Amino acid sequence: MSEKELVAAIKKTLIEISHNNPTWRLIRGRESLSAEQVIGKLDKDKKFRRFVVTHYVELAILIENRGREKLFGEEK
Amino acid sequence: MKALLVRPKFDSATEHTFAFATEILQWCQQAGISVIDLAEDQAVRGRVEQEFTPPPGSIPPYPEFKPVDLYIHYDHGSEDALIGQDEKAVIDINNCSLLANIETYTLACLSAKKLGVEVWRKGGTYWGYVDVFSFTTDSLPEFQEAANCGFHYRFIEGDTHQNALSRAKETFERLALELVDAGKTFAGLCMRSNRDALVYYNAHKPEEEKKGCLLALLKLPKIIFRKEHS
Repeated sequence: MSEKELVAAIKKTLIEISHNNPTWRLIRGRESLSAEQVIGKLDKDKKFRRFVVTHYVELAILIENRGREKLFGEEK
Repeated sequence: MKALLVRPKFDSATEHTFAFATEILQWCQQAGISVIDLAEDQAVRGRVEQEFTPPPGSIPPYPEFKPVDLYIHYDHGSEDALIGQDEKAVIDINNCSLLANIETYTLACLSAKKLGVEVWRKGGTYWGYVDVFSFTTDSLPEFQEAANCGFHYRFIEGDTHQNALSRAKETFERLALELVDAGKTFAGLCMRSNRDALVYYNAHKPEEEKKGCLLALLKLPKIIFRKEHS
């Protein structure tokens, strides 16, 4: 999956959030952003996009490792 | 134990973190920790410095004067400052010696990067974040648990610096996975990034100090060689 595809998938979840929970905010330091604003920031702010993509991938790896541990036990 | 809790409330982030800090206050009261609560308008530099000023009539260097054992700051910070109600620095590089030899626990973004290192160099400990602390409003109880858990491990349960940090990192990770399970992926992502940004100087050394250690290690054979030939 390319970064572009990953960002598109993330945006999709943010669109769902904006529909299901219009009061949702991301608080990041002094910034308070709605789901739509986060989508806009993903387009404009390279550093923010890197932050989101990096942690998304890290989280995915963590979930995969936990899943593997559950199935096959801890790695020796 | 005596603690000083500083908690401004002037924007949407501090609206939430002010509430997070209320739990800290309740825990302290239950555990018999005496707390000076500087909330909202009281959460400013002058008022904080006043708490660190020796009583009138005492003679320097005030060996018996220890105003507080623990400084708690919720919230907002920059690399070199903790911010107060007036959006100005309450603690910065110029007055951070106030935190020498005491424990600091803060949720403030970024402040562990420079300020925390300075406090640590002056003999204090520093629980804080080297990056921005982020959270989402759909998961406030989970972020409150993450923000406060280290305080409980260290100061209520009395666990060691190292254990408190590793237990807190485990808690952040567990919460991140639970949030993903609950379909709150973005919240999980924030939780995970907060985990990575969390540091506790004295449980470990600041990054730059570690680099210093590594450099010293690399130079070790040269040092030994020189000593043997001198």
